[in-house]
Amino acid sequence: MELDANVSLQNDKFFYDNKTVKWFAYATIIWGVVGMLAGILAAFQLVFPVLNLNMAATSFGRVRPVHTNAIIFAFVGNGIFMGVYYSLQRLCKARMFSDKLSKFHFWGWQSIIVLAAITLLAGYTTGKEYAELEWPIDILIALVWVAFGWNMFGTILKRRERHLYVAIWFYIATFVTVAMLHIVNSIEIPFSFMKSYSWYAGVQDALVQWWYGHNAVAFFLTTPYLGLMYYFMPKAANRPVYSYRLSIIHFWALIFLYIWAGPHHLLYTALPDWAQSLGTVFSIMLLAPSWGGMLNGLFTLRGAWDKVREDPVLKFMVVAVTAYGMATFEGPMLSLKSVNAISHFTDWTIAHVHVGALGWNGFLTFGILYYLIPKIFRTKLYSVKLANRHFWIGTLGIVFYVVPMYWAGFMQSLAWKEFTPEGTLKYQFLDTVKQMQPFYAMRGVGGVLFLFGALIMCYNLYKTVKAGDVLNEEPAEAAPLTKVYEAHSTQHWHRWIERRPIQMLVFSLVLVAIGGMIEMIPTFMVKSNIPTIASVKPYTPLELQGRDIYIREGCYLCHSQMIRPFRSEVVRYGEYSKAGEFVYDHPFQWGSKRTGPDLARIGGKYPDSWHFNHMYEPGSISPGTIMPNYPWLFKNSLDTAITGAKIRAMITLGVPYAAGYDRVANDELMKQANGIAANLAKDKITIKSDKEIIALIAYLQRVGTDIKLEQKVTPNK
Amino acid sequence: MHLHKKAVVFSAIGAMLLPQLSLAATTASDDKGTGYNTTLVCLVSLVLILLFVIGMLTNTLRQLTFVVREKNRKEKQGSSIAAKATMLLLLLLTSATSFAATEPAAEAAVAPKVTSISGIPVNDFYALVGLIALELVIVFALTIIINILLRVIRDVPELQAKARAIAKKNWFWDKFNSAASIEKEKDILLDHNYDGIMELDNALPPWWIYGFYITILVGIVYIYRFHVSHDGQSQLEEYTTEMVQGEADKAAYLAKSANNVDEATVTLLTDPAAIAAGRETFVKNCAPCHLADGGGTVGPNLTDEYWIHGGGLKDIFKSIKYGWQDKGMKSWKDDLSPKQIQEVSSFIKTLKGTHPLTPKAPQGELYIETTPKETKDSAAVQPVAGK
Repeated sequence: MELDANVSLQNDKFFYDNKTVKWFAYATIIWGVVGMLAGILAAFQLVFPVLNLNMAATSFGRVRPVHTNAIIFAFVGNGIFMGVYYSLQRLCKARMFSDKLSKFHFWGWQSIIVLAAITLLAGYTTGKEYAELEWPIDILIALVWVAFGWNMFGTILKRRERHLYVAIWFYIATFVTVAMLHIVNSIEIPFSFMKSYSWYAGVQDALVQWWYGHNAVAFFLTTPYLGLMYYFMPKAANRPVYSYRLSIIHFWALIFLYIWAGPHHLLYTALPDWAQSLGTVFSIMLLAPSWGGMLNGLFTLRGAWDKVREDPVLKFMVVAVTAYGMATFEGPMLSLKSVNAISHFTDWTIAHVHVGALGWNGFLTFGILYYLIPKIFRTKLYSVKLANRHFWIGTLGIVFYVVPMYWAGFMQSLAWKEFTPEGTLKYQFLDTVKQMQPFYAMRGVGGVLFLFGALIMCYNLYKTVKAGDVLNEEPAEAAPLTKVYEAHSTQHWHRWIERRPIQMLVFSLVLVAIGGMIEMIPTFMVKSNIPTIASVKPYTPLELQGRDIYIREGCYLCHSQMIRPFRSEVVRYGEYSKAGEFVYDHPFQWGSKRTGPDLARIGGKYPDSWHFNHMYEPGSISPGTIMPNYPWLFKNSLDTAITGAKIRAMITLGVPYAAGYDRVANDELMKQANGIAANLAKDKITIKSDKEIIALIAYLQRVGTDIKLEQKVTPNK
Repeated sequence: MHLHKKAVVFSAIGAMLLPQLSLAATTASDDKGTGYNTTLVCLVSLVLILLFVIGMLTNTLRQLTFVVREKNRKEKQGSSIAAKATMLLLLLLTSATSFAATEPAAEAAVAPKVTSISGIPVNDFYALVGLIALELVIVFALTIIINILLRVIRDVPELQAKARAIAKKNWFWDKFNSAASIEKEKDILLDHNYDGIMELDNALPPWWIYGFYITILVGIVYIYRFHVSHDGQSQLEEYTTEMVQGEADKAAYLAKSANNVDEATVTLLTDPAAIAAGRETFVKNCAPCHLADGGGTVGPNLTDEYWIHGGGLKDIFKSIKYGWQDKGMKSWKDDLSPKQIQEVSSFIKTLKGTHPLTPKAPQGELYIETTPKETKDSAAVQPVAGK
């Protein structure tokens, strides 16, 4: 028996490193508040556009990625590391492998966050959602992530516990999958110190991006937090985990199935039908494995529900796990085409992710913090009453946030689709935007409540820390592992791999690689998946520059460029989008939300002067709009020194510009810019042709004009 | 057909609940042939789910009231608790009556349909939404009552034990999940111990594992239907169907309505109501480029005698309907109905000779109304549109 072998040996004495855990906990709290503040600002910008402050750095298109990145990578990221550093040491009965690596990991991650905030506000973005950070930061992320993995594996390898607990399986899968996702999705070609183009284009870029985006949810927001749940929930409830068997099945099924589901973000788009269907069916199959985690969490509380009523830690965790269950039930439903046709591009999706972010990630983090801080500071929580207040205010905040968003998304989508009997659209897009205002306001209030709860927690934990006595080095002892292990004869077959972390790592990697490969390889290799359209030509240098401004200002966060094949969309926006139209789009700009209308066929729809006035002050053209003003585009001169490098990068990526085109590109650029300036002059608008707005107008007038449609405007005679 | 079956089953459930709902469901399915109304399905599912929740909560409440009643009987002097219990009963009654009130509220919704929201008659839609709101209120109220009751019970330890006994009797739940009862847990406790965390080896909940199998089956059938047998429509086939249906609906409507004007048959409206409607449409849609008074900014001045594409009623109608893409005038035929275009065109004709605040310089050619009846203008000035 396991125990007999160990009994004769002397126990090792060692210390758990609580200091790093403490630092990560502080970072979690601070970045959480920062991220929520950014979210609240963004939320109220949609109600009061004046809050965009007429400045580039504070406009919605730049604040929103700061919010999402801060919550995902700063708040939840630090939350993961806090929980992993605390639980891993105890589950392995070993101190973290290297204090230096821990330190590097901590400070590396914090500098990534700071750099991210600065560069995003400065307009450096790749234009791919949740992977917006530019190439130097991408490299830094890879380095720090490897340091984390190295530290984790070092700890696992020198463990004093023979078998790996289920929490560690989740940590391993998290590490290896996030590494794979990040590297594959971030392949880009730099053309300047801070700027690059995505290696992939159009449909392929979309597939890779949503394979990444969906699995960032899976392997950054879900699997590590499931691991944390498996440690902290039974600890806090002092109950055995409900079912070992369930852990095994739901773990392997979850990581295998999750990776396939990415295309459900691209239903009814130009992605080939077969890939969309894979996204749908794997999302459906994902329901049970996801719920396995919820069940194992909630059932672990059997016989401890009286404690849940008393203990705020458990209260938070119960709501977190329930929110997880709700979100993972909703996910497969949203992957059904008929539901997705309604929900996609609306605030429904925003509601859905916030059930996950506020409920699952937020509340689990709060629960862990309320558990951890008193433990590390060897004291009791300063005030259980305040924690309960936090719980109720936070819960109310979630309700206030998600209910209006569900309602708004549903209503807006139906309004977009509604026809009059005469066969015309019932509502102008702007009408539906105006209807959203009260819902956006209520959502903001929900966010404020949630933040208020978090601030109560800050105070409570601050008081706890003040009253406590920190234990940075926590003494522990355990027997070392013997060289030879004699297995229990009646052991579960799965115990085999639980003793072999390297095999587990490799096997997880193989498993998570399968789905992506099967979806991506044919999309890249088989020509028929993206039929070529002869009339689709590369962008002119000016248009390319304009496109980069479009990306810089985060236009894609509110405007899609993907007309789905629905009558309501074709009538509203024009011919539905074809796969072959996007072959030169590095990166793709399909977007995922329509706070404003789709722009896939904006080219030629309005005169240049319309765009000029509209970008300067959208409200002057569309009264009641919530789009920010972009005055800086009229002051900034276009950086033409970089045009050649951009063209060269595109040539490397296979865009068919003639050889040597980079040298004449600026001449072409000026010619086109002068043309636009002259055109504006006809409408009595004087502007120099070297301003950024000229490039943006050039791009907007080009979008979607490449394919010649049978003239929609020809009379029917 | 598969979908049709679904619609039938669904109507059956609907019929049991609220008669007029099934009506709406069948009309919806009639309209689209084989389709069913997603919105309606969502709303009714929500109604059903909430009803289920209310049922469960009511049951819990019922059990709890037994405990409280017993507690009252034992504590004869416990007047405060008695008062609490009376209050609770009152609350219960109110919630019951409010629940009963849902019936008439729903009945009221049979009124003739004027308009509809996503295929559901407007009254039915609001009745459903109201019903959902009411259900939410009831759920909320029940939760509060249960919470208060729990607190009342917790005051007395023996009753607390009794409440626990009731909970223990909940063998159905254990059986449903195939879980070992708490007393027998020791038998399935594994020898795992990770930092004090133990693991049980409970069986997989049968509903969970069979649910998993079903989703896998659904996945296989789905792929088969859409990519092997092609029974399910691809997205482009769906699109074609939708467009054909849309055109057919539109043609059918226009055929029997007075709305069916085009550039050949359009006549000048002079009725003040029509002109006012035209003005409203103009201000809402055209003002950004032509200004509300027609003075023009991005688009040309509409008040002067000069017209780029002809100033006759039919020319204007045509310009609005088909647009002049190359000059930045979009086609409005998908945004405005023929009647609206007629109203707007007639309104624009009234602008001639008015004095806008900031008139744009004249563009195009001097246009002279050839005949007051405007029968020839189109032929005279306008070539084929769109070229």
